[in-house]
Amino acid sequence: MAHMIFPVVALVMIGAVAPPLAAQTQDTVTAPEDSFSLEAAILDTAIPFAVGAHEARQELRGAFGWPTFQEGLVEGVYFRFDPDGYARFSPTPRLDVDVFEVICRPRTHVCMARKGAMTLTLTSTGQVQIALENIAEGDQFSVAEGISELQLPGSILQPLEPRLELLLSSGGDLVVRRGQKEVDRISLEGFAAVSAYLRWVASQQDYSVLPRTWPIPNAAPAPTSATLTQTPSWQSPMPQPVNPAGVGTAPSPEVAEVRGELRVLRELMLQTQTAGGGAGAAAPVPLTPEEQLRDLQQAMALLSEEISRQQASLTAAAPAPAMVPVQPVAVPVTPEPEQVSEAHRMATQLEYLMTEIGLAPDVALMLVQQNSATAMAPIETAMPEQDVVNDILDELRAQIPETALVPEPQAPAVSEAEYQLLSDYFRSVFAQK
Amino acid sequence: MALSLTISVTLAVAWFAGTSAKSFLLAHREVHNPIIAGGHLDDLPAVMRGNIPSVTTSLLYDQPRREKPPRMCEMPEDYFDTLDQGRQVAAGYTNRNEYVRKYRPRRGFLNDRELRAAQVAWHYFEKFTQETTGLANSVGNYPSTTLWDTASYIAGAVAAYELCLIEKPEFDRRMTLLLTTIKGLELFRKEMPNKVYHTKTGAKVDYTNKAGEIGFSALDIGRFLVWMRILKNRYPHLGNTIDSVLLKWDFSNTVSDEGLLFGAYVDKETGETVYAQEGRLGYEEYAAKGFALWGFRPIMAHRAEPFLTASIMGIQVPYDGRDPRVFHSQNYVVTESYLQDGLELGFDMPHDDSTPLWLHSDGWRAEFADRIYQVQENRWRRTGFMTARSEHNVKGPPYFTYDTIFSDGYPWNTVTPRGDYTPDHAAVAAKAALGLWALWDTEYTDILYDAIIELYNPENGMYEGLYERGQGRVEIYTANNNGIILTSLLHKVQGKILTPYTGETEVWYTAYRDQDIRERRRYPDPPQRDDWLPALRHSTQREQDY
Repeated sequence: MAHMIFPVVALVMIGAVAPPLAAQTQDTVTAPEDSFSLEAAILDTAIPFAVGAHEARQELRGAFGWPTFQEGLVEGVYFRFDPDGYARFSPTPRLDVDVFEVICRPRTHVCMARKGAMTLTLTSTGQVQIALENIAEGDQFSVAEGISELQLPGSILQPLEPRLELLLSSGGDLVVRRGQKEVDRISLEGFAAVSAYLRWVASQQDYSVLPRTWPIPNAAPAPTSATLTQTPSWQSPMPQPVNPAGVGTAPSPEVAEVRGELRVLRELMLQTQTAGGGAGAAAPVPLTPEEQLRDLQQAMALLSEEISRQQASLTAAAPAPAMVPVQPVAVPVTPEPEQVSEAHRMATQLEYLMTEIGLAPDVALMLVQQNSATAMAPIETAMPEQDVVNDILDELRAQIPETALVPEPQAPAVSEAEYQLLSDYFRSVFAQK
Repeated sequence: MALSLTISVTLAVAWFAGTSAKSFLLAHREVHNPIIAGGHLDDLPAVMRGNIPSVTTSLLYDQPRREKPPRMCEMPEDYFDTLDQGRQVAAGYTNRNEYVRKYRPRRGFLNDRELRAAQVAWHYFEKFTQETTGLANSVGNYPSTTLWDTASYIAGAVAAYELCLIEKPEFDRRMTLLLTTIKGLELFRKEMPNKVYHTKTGAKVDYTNKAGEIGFSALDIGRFLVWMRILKNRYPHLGNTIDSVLLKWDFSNTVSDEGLLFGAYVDKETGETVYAQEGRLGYEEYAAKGFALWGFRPIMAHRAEPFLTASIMGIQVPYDGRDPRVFHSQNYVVTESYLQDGLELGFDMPHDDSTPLWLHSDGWRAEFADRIYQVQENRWRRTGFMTARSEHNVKGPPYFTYDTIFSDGYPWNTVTPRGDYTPDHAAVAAKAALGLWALWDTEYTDILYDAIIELYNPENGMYEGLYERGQGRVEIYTANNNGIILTSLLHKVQGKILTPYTGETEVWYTAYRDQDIRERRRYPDPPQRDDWLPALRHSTQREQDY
C-alpha cells in the first residue's frame, strides 16, 4: 500500500490550507489567517499559463487577499489561479461543476490537485502520482468514455508513465470497480490541464515543462530597460523547446520546497540586516554582470571539484577489475589527467548550459550526467560479459540445422494505384446509399 | 427770470418726488423684507456659514429630539415596560414615505447567554488591538485593517461601554489612542485614507500587508463616517478629536457633483490614480448615509435605482441593475448592509432625529430589508437550511467569500471575490444571524439565535459562522463579525445606535472658514432643508410571488 502513503503525507503537508475541502471541527491554536502572507505568493499572475489567459483584479472587501488572479481557457477547461498557486479548473466558466481544485503548501511550489476521491501530486521525478480514497486490494480500474470502457493496469497508482498519463488525459471517467460493483467514478475532465499546471508551478512557471502540444503564449513578458542588456533576459518570444511530460526536467518537490524555504530565509536575513543597520542601512545592491560571472565561476569550480571527487571515489570503488579478467595494460595506471580533463569538460559544458542556454544548475547538471552516461554506453556494450554472451549465441546458432531456417514469404509488389484511401472508400459506400 | 424760476421749481418738484418715491420704496422694502444677518434671506458669505445650525426634523417640525438611552447598568428595571414599540400601528408607508415594518426588533436587557456572547466578542478586541497604534486587527493575528473594520472596532468599543463591559477611562483611552493614530495616518496621495493599514505600525500597505498603497474605498469611508457620527453625537467630549481627523481628508474626488460615491485605485500600467464609482444596492445607500451625516449630499448614491428584482422563494429580492459585464463590479445581495442600516441608523434618513424608533423615515430601505429577511426565512421553511447570508472570511484560500442571497443571476450563490462558485463555503454567518435576531423578533430568528449565541471560543471571540453543509464552524475570528454582534446586542438594549447631535455648532463646519481649504477639499456647509436626501418609496410586494 505504498501508494497510499504518499497522498497521506501530501495531505498532511497541505491540509493546513484546505478548509473547505475537509471538515473543520477542531480548534486551532494558531490563527488560520497565518497561512496568508506575502511569502505565500509563488506565482506571477501576469505570466499567462496558456494562450488567451489574462491577469485580472479581484474585488476585495476585506483587509487582505490577493489583488490579482489569472483566468483563461485551456484544453477545454476554464481555470483561475491566485499568486499562492490556489487554482480551480472546470469545464464551465462559472467553475462550479466537475472542479479540480489545486492548493499549494504555503511558501513552496509543492501543490496537489483534488477532485472527489482523486488526488494528483508530482513525484520527485516530475511524474504524476494518483491517489484514490477508499480503495482496496483487488480493485479494478478503467477509463470509461460513453459506452466503451478500457481496462487500466493496477500501476495507475504508481507514478504514471507518459503513455498512461496521456490516456488519462484524453478524458472520460476513471471507474473503480470492486468485483462487479462500481465503487467510484471520477471525471477526468481537466486532468491534462491540471497535470501541466502542477509541473508549471513546480518549475516556477517555466514553459519548457509543458506538453509538446500546449498552447504556449507567443510572447514573453516585456523586459524592463534595466535588464534588457543582460543575457538571461534574451528570451525568445517564440515557444520554448518543450520536453515530453514526465521526463524529469521539473524540479522535484523537495528541491522546490528547499528553494522556497531558502527564499524565505534569504528574505529574513535581508530584513534582519536592514533592521540591524537602522534607517541608514544600505539596501542589498544588485550584482553587476562581472560579479555574477565571478560567482558563477566560483560555483563552477566548486562543482568541478565535487565532480572530480565523486568520480575518483567511484573509480576507486569500481569492482570491475576484480570480477572480469582483463589485461593489465588495458587499465590506465594514472587516471588523474583523464579525470581532470573529464571534469574540465563537464565544467565547460555546465558553464555553457548555465550561462549561454540559461538552464537552472540542477537541470544543467542532470543533462551533463545524462550525456556522460550516453558516452559510456558503447564502452559498456564492449564489456567482456557481453562478448561471452555473443559467443554463446553464435554457438547456439551454429547448432541449429540449416533446414529450420525457412525463408520468409516475400510480399507481392503492390503498385501505388492499387491503394484506395479509406475516406474515398467510405465516400463511395455512402454515395451508393 | 420766470423761466429759470419755473425750471428750478420743476427740478425741485422732480427731486422731491424722486426722493420721496425712493424713500417710500426703500421704507416699504424694509418693512416687508427685512434681511437679518444670518437669516434665511441673508446670503451669507462662506466665512460665516459654519455657524448656522444643521436643520433636522426636530428643528424643522418642532418635535422633541430623541434622547440617548442610558447604559445598561444604569437603566431602571422598568425601562422596557413603557417602551413604545408601535405595535398597534399597521405596516406600510406613510404620507411622508416613512415605513412601518411588519416586524419589530427585540428589546430588553441582555440575558446571561447574551452577556456571555458580548463578553467573548469584546475579548476579540481586547486580544487583537495593537497597543502601539490602538488599531485592531481585521482578522485575528493578521496585523492589518481597513476603515470598515476599524468602524467595527469602534462599534465594539461603544457596545462594550454601553453594555457596561468596560468603564469610561478604558473607553476614552482606547478611542483617543485610535483617533490620534487615524489622524496621523499617511493618506493615499494626500487625499483620503488608504484602503489598508498595518495595525502595528500604522503604515500604508497593500493587500499583502507590504508597504505600499492601493487607493481608497468610498464604502469603507462611508461606514467609518457613520461611526464617527455615532461617536461624536454620543460622546461630545470626543468631538474635537473626531473633527480634526476628518478635517485632514480631501473629499474633492469622493462625492461627485451628481451625488455618486467614488473610490480610487492605482492603474497598474501608468501608476496614475483612477477614480471609479463604488457601491451597489445595499452597501451604496448605507455608505451614502454616512457621508450625508456629515453634510455631504450623495443624492444619487442614496437612490435605489437602477435596481431589478429576482423572484426567489416567493419574494421579489431587489438587486442592483448595473450590468457586471459592463461595469465590472458584482451586484451581491447579502444581509449585512441592511442590518447595519437597521441597527445603526434605524432605517432612518440622516436628518431624522425625532421620529419614533418603529417609524423608519428611509422607508424603502426598511421595506427592502424586510424582503431580505423574508426570503431567508422562506428558504429555511422550504428547504430546511438555516439561512443568514453575508460576506465573510474563510480559513485559508480564498480567505473571503460572498455568501449571497443572489448574485450573477443565481440565487443562493456563494462565490469568491474572483468569481468562483464555492458552495462549500456557504454558511450561517454569525453576524447576519444575530443581526436578524435583533431586528426581526420571530420564531425563525429564535432558531438562528440558538445556533449562534454559543458559537465562540472564549480565547479569541465569536466564530465567523457555521458551515451550511456540515463542515462545522468557520474557524476564523474577525473584527467585523465581533463588532456587528456587539452592535446587535447593544441594539436589543438601546435600539437605534445613532443618537441625535445635541450641540450648537461643530468645528467640522466652522474650521478653515478664513482659507480656501474648504472649497478645495469640498467640505460641506451645515445641511439645510433643501439639502436633505429625498425620502422615496418603491412599489411594494403585496403578496408572495411564486
